[in-house]
Amino acid sequence: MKTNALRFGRLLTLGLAAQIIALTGAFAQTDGAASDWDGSLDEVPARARLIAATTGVGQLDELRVGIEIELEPGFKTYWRTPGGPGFPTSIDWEGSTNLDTAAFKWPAPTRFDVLGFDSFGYIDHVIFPIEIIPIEIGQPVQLRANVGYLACDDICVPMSADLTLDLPAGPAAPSQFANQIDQFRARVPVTDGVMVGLNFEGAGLQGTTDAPLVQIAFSATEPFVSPDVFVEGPEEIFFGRPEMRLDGNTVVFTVPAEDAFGEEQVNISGQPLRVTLVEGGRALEARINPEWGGFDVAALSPAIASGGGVGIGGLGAAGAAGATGAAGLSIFAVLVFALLGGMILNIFPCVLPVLSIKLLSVVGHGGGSTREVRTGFLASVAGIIAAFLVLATLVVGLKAAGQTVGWGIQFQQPLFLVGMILLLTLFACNMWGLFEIRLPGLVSDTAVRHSGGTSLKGHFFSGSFTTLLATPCTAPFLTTAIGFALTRGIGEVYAVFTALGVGLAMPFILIAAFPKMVTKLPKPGPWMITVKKVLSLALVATAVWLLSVMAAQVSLLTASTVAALMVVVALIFAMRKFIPARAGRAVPVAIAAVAIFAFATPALLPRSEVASAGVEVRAEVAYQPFDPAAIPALISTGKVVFVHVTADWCITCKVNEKRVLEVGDVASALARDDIVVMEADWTRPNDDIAAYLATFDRFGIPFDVVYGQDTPNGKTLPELLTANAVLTALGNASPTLRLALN
Amino acid sequence: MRKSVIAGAGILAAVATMLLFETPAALADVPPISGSVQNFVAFDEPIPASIIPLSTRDGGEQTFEDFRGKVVVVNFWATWCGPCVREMPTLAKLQEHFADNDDFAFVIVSQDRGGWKEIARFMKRLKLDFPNSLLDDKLKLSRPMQVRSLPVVAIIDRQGGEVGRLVGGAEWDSPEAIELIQYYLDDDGGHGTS
Repeated sequence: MKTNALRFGRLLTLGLAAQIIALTGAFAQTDGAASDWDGSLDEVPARARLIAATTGVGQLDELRVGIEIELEPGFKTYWRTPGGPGFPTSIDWEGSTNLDTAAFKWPAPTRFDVLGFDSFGYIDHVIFPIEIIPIEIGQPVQLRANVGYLACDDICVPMSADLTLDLPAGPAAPSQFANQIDQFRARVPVTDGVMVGLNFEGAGLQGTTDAPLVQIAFSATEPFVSPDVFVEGPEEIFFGRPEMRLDGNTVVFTVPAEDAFGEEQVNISGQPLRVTLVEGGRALEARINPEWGGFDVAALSPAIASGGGVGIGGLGAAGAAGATGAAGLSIFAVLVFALLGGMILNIFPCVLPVLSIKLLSVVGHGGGSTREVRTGFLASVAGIIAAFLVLATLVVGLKAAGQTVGWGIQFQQPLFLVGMILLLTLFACNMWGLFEIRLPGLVSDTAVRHSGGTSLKGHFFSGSFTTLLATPCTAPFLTTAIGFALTRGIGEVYAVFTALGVGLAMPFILIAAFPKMVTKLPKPGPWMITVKKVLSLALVATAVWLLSVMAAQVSLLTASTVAALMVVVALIFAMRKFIPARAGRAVPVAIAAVAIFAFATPALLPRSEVASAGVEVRAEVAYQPFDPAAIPALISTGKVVFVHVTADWCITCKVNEKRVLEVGDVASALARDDIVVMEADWTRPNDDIAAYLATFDRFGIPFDVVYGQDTPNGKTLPELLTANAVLTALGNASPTLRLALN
Repeated sequence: MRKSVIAGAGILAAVATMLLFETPAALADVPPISGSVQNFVAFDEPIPASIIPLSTRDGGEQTFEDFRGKVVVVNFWATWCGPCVREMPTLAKLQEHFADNDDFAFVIVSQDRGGWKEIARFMKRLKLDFPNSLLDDKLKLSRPMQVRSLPVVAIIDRQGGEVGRLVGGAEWDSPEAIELIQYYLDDDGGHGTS
């Protein structure tokens, strides 16, 4: 009752509180490039403000501003087509001065579930980029925006914000918001797919007039990971959840259409539709007028046409919604994929130590009784499958907690990496004969021991270890099966993971079925020690690989420290032979101490800053750190300077690198000694880069400039680079290059 | 009438208790709030509901005064509100449950700006029918009644006073919901005023 009373009290005081907040919220530092927030999230579920990329209007003919909406956790606001119940954000600019046009941009939406309704919009936070054209360039612009939007979770609150932002006359210095506005601008779907490496392939209609299906195909320069499509059309047509079939770089969506007002027939043939493909941070928009049978899937992808590829029904939220049509793959097919994927994992390079442990266990069984062999291998099978079930439970748990999940995400955890490296080191030491452990000695104490053999629990845990080590590997079929499972319910996740486990355990299962294969091997003897030593090298190689992962993810210093500690572990074991037995008791303590230190290392040592100031060579192009002050001096010595501003979220920048800068004639040209390539990384806000962009009246990227004797102030290149444009600009920059490049 | 006798006896008992123990007694007669309607907030005193007229779908006008003498359950909603849409079918069942009770009226108030056309399409699609349907596209009623978020279901007593409301979705065809409505139907206006 008390909370109810509070809730109602809150309801009554909303209006008053919003006004107080509006008055007190004015003190945050925003260098004048933002309006006040119109409320506080303590009182209302959402708030809005106007932000600008510049502190003044300068002589810009186009000003970049944005409406930023912040929502209470769990609340959503809507895209221009809400999908389910909802309404889009709208703005009234009444009262603004020196405002000619304001072009409102919609960043690509995400699909979410509001109480069982598939909806499209934005969760927690969004910035809508807006391009303002002033009537008079150089004159102050006063923006008065009434923003109407909807915030929904378990309740819906229609919001109305009156926002005021004055952009004074004077220099257009970049504001602290330039980077963020550009990040959201980068998410606005493009119509020219080349900008983002996506391509619209075609569309057509399938099915019947009372249950039509819109088929839409896209391709990409890189394999699709998690594509989704949003279809918009006349208001009388309602589009259901898309079903997707994926074949590497090709995806075909099948979207059911029905009459939004309950009519039997759906008038869709030839209707103008707008489709938006979203794949990670990139998005492409295409206009289509689909006709019956107007598109041939077989010509694009025989695999998809013949029912192959991956079928992922009911994108986004799990639910019924009749998504299990014939077009997608059945769960049975996916289970077969999972089984195959698990089997193929056995021969993949990252499973080297897995193989070696398996080989070892096979060797260990040489000359043993068939019964012993069978039970031992079955225990390993159980270990493998149990580990997969644990992984499945983790995935289900993380999914329920709203976390992003994927195959091998635990490798992003430094502590997990340290644990795996430590285990590998211990195994390697064991195989070198530096110390004797029965495999379970580390993890289990009451092992059921057979004379001289490895215990059942040992077999079980070696199986689990196999699974853990296999997780960073992505074999064919594997991602397909897991991708399917992740978009489905709990049952599917467990089924697919179990099938993967059975696949990975297949060699063990075979040996358990035909134990004679092993018992015919020679009895364990001195030859086995040699085999062990060879196999231990595979373990060390894996540990080194994990260290390199750690170096990339945490820092080189941390990885080196952990590596040194592992050498200490090996040395402690090695020295044990030379110290008195009494002191030998200190060995486990010393090892434990080193292990604890290793686990503490990622927390104790600083993480490396992104791209520390060094030269990075990618595809023969040597990118120097960004240093605009050095440019005049370089030009005076006859060099040509190519400045490339990029960011992880800037897909077009990445496309430019892969399609133009790092291939062919351009890469060879940029590799020349008389050309200096500077890379500025704007992934995170950076005042120097923002100020540099502003000197060209730019407040966003991609941005590339060529400096030379003939173009000392820099020649800017188009956003979407072409080899021709880059080579011409380089040639025009200096007389020597003009001759060299022609 | 029997209820009022009980209520009268209750008051007497309360006075007697207060005299005897000098403590303010909480009387047993409180609305049953549990389960799927646990977020219902009963007011200490009825708050007079606004009597601003709203348009009906046949072009007329109606106010809560037209339902005076009945217990009115009023649902504020909109087609753009997911949680509202979700509970709509359960409200239809609630309306049906009390259909034969002349003391009961069920009214829905839509905030849709798209007007009757949009509401009619929605009802057709979901195969629902609410005879007492009002349009509040300008928030003429929602504002004075402090309906800032949706959905809201409010209960108005026979004297035109709002006795409580629930903000957010609920299952209105659940036994708890029906018990709650029945409580106010059994009441003749003595609640919260003693």
